[in-house]
Amino acid sequence: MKRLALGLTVILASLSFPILSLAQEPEQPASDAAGGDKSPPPPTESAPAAAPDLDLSDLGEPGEAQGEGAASKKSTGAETGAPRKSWEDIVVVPRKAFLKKYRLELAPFTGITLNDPLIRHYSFGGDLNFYITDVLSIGAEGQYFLKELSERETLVGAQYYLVPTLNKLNYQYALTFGYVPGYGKFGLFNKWIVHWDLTFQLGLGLIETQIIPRAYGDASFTNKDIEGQIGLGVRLFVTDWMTLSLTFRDYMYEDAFEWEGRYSGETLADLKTQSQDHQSQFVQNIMMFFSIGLYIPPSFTYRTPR
Amino acid sequence: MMKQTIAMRKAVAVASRIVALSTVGVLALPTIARADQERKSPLTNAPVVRRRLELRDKRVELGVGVGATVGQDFYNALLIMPKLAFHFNDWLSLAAVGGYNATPTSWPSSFNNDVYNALVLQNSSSAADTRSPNANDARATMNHITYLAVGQVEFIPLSGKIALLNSIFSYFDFYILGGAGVINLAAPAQPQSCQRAGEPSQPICQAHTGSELTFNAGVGAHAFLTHWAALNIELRDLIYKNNASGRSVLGNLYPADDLPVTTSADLEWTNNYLVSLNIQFFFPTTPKISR
Repeated sequence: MKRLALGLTVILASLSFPILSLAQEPEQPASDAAGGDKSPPPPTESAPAAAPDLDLSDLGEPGEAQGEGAASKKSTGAETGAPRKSWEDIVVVPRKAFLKKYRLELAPFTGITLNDPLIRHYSFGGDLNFYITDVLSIGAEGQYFLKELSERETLVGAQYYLVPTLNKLNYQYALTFGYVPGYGKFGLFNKWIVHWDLTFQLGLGLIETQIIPRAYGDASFTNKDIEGQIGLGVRLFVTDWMTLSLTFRDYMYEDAFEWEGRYSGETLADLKTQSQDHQSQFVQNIMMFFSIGLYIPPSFTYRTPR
Repeated sequence: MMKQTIAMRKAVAVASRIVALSTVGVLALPTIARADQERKSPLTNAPVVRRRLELRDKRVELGVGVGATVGQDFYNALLIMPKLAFHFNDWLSLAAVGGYNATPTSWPSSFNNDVYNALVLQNSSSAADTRSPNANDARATMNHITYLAVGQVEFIPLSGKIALLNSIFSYFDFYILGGAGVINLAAPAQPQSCQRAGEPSQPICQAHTGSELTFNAGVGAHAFLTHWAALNIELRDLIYKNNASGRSVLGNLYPADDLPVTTSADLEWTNNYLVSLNIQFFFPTTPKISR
């Protein structure tokens, strides 16, 4: 029993020693040259050389004036060469999070028209872009539209006894050229870094529209219009192979609407000709898109050292 | 007897070992835990950006800019928009925004023009539908924004840096905003043709004017040009009750003449989008720097 008691006492003493030491650690000023670090103590005169590569301690607390106290604090730390194990001693400069050069982007999207109070279109489609460099791309886009008449369209008849002349959109496709004019990163609650870029797009393509006859049951015709487009958007990099984008595009084209002089018995070909001659109008469709970009190959290799 | 003594000693020895081992285990636990803590990366709990310019913390923001409505039915508005804000910290602020419409009726929408031109044609046609309103009367009851004053709380979770064309660098932030306020609406006139003889409370049409409570929700961004000046873009949805045409929405008819009746019941909640661009100045002019 004596041996047991003795053994327990030794165990208790040996175990409590490091605990006490650890508990005392924060109270110990960094004046101890050895400092508990395994590295040899620096020579007294060359103490600053033992400091970390980049000493951030002189920044002081946020908003703190760099007064005498701060200077003295700095001096103490530098002279002693106190080891510090903190994130303040480590410099991190993250690299560009995402490289696009020679990668193919497949981006399914959905969109909505913004600037017509009478008719709204929802769009479903996709972009296919190949990046020649990290900021230049060529590609193609295509989309299919679904129409929805607005409440204002319904009220035009009830309030003014008029029937609006409208066209609906059927589909569109285009060749596009993309450019990335800006690249940035932001801190989310200062906990996570999110990388993003600005995207700019020019395109040329074809859009098919179709007249909505003012008289219910009348035949309709379609137009195939050459369209030009310009777009601006932001893209967030989520993983090495996926991005999220919000884009605004303006589609511009000359479109033919149902001729106001349409008469009963008129052939569709005649109506189309009359409409093109008398009822053509330059149209701007501003649309907003949300897309998910999937990249092939799904990974990339940095070409420069960190 | 001897066997019993030996057995008891063995039992005591076993019990002693168990007690000793348990004691060691209990005492060693904090040490092991401490060792685990020591193995943690020094980057644990580090902010992702250090020496960050806290461009908003405890600063007042004051500036002015222009705003434009998007997708209004009848009259677009170009507004002069002052803004005053106080940032409680780097991610939360309270702001007051005003707006005065510099183009009350001088910026009609293309839909307004289409309706007007169609009604002019309709009015002049020999086969005119007599129920169609006069073109000028129709336009007279279309309302527009006069001014607005809203308060908003801004929550700024995102802030960072951007490089434009690899040569221009700017600090920026994104935020969401929400609040409420007052919007004032006006119309050119209350046409005589809207009045119903003998029933002034049951007009055929009636421009909706006066002040309305409006809710205010949107997103915004600052792009800092210097440490004390920033471009501020905001896109907001002003949600208020309106009848922009001043004509019956519900389609209620007055029994005596079968013509529509327009009352306050025809008001409905509407979404009105407004985009604005301000130049904002920050005080004090020197921002803090984080650790």
